[in-house]
Amino acid sequence: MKRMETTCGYCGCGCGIYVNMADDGTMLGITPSYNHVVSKGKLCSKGWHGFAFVRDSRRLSNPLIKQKDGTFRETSWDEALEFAANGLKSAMTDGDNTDVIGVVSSARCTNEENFLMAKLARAGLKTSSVDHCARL
Amino acid sequence: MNDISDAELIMVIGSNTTEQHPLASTRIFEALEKGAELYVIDPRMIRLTDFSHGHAIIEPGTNLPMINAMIHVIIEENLMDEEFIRNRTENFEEMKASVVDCTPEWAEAITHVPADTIRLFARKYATTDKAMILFTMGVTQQTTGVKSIRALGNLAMLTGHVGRPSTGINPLRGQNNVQGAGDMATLPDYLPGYQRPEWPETKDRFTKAWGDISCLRGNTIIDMFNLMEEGKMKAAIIVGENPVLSDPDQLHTMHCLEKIPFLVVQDIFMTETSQYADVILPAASFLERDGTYTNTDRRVQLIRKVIEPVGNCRPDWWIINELMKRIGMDVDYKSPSEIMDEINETTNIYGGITHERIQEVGLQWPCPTKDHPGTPILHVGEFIRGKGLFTVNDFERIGDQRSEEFPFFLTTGRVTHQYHTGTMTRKVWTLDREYPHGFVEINTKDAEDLGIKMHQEVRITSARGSITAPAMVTDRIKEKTVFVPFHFAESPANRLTGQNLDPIIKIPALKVSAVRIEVAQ
Repeated sequence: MKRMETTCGYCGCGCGIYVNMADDGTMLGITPSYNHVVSKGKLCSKGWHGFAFVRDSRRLSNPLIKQKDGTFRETSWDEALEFAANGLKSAMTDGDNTDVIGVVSSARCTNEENFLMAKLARAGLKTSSVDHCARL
Repeated sequence: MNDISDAELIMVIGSNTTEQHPLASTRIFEALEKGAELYVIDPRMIRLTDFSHGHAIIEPGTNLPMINAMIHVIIEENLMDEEFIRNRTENFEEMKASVVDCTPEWAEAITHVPADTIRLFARKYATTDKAMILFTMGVTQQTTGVKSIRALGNLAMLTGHVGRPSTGINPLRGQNNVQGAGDMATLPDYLPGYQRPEWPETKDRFTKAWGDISCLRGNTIIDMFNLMEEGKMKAAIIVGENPVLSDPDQLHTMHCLEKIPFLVVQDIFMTETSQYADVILPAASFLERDGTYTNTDRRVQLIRKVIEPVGNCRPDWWIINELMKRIGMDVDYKSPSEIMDEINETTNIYGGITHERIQEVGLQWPCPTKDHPGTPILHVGEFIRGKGLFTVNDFERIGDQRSEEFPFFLTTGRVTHQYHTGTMTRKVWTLDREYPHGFVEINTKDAEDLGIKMHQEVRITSARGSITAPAMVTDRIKEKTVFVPFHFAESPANRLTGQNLDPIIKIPALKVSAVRIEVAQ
């Protein structure tokens, strides 16, 4: 068995957790980090149990594009990214796009990802309409 | 957060701490064991109230008059910290004049909290040395949210409860990285590090780093949806959010998503929102990628890739990087740590926070340089703006009011075992079995009057829409008030909530909606 230290992904407490894994990489469970500055060896029910969704069979595992009949078909990353980028690009005007393109980021994403989202919005899509769920 | 356990008095306003921030609540219990006193302001009896020394069972939406009345009492009984007011604040006289008429009796009529309870809270708070305030969305998600927080600022400055250990007004941040998302400015009115778009140096700095940028005050989520409805907004990208369940006025949100011509959604599961997408990009979960989160203490901590992403999922940073390249931006990030290097350069408060430095223990911003130790407490010695400014915050009734048609107030919230819209936790059976479905808490007396029995299906209706859920008949909620958690798609609380916004920062009043309730037919 091996274990790896990381930070819980649920609330804003930011508890330290160890993820225990079998040698083949199967997740076995979570152990609190005993000397972590926030959690001090304790965890709530979400901390202890909340990892199990990661291997849920309902996880999206391939990019999806909507078809004419409203259903989705699986596709490659290349096609999906090209389709997404073209859709966003063709909405862009020559001027500022603040009222034309919206960018909604997430408190579930990392700092690095949020930084990129802010940059994508303001420097890439030329829109100042970038927000996340802090108000909700 | 460790400061909580050394406090001598803790006042909790609009925070169900044991349910939403379980590990923060352990600190409250540590403080109680050491003899601290606990005062709670909340329309519901929550777990904390079982241990509290005082509970103000408040009418939803009326925190502001309660706080102003406490300020009135402290001034009237001369319990202020005059030295603090003289040396570190300004505008005291104007603030004082504004609360002259805010007597506890005046507040009792509005808040339904007995005048003597208000006096008790004020005296205890003012006369305890290490007194701290904890609050969350129960304060902010009201039309007077900003004013209430400013009034709490007045209260803390008036009594010198700022800038010292175990004092201050402390928001507990709801989601793992809501602090960091704000710091990184996925916000319409800031660039990273809380730099205002209209400041000339902001535009210079980011134009140099990023090239030509849109540097305006943009639209909030709520306004973006309104622009979709008007047909002005042509495209949108939504990453890791489920506004169909989390945003107010669900039917309106769904209608807007139907109208937007092009929608990209990035998420880990198919959600109520991703159904509306033209293209869905499957993302990695928090155990499948590297990066940093910033907790409610402003502590920047590492997350590590523990397992490979399932299927063909990719980390969000990788997906965004690919999109940036394909819309023609000159970027090619190889790792989150490389992105952090750019954050160091552009964002002063994160200037010295590198992945290397936080391998063992996280750092608290502001941390401007590579040899800076981080900052555990803000406003020590001096406020960031210099002198602390007392503000005038007059109460006014905006938004939903009780009426003959809608005599109840609905307040929304969460339960411990579920998280936000349940996208993750409802797929963990050991969590989901604890609260497998939504419910509506209703006071025993109201239930009797309406002929509602425990677990009976009831219909709740507001001006926006209508939902059903089983009744949870209890004495633990104020009369004429109902509570519905918003995790559950089958009983979506946000079909009932409305677009009454705080006029200053446009946070919707999710905690106060007028509704009626009846046995479901």
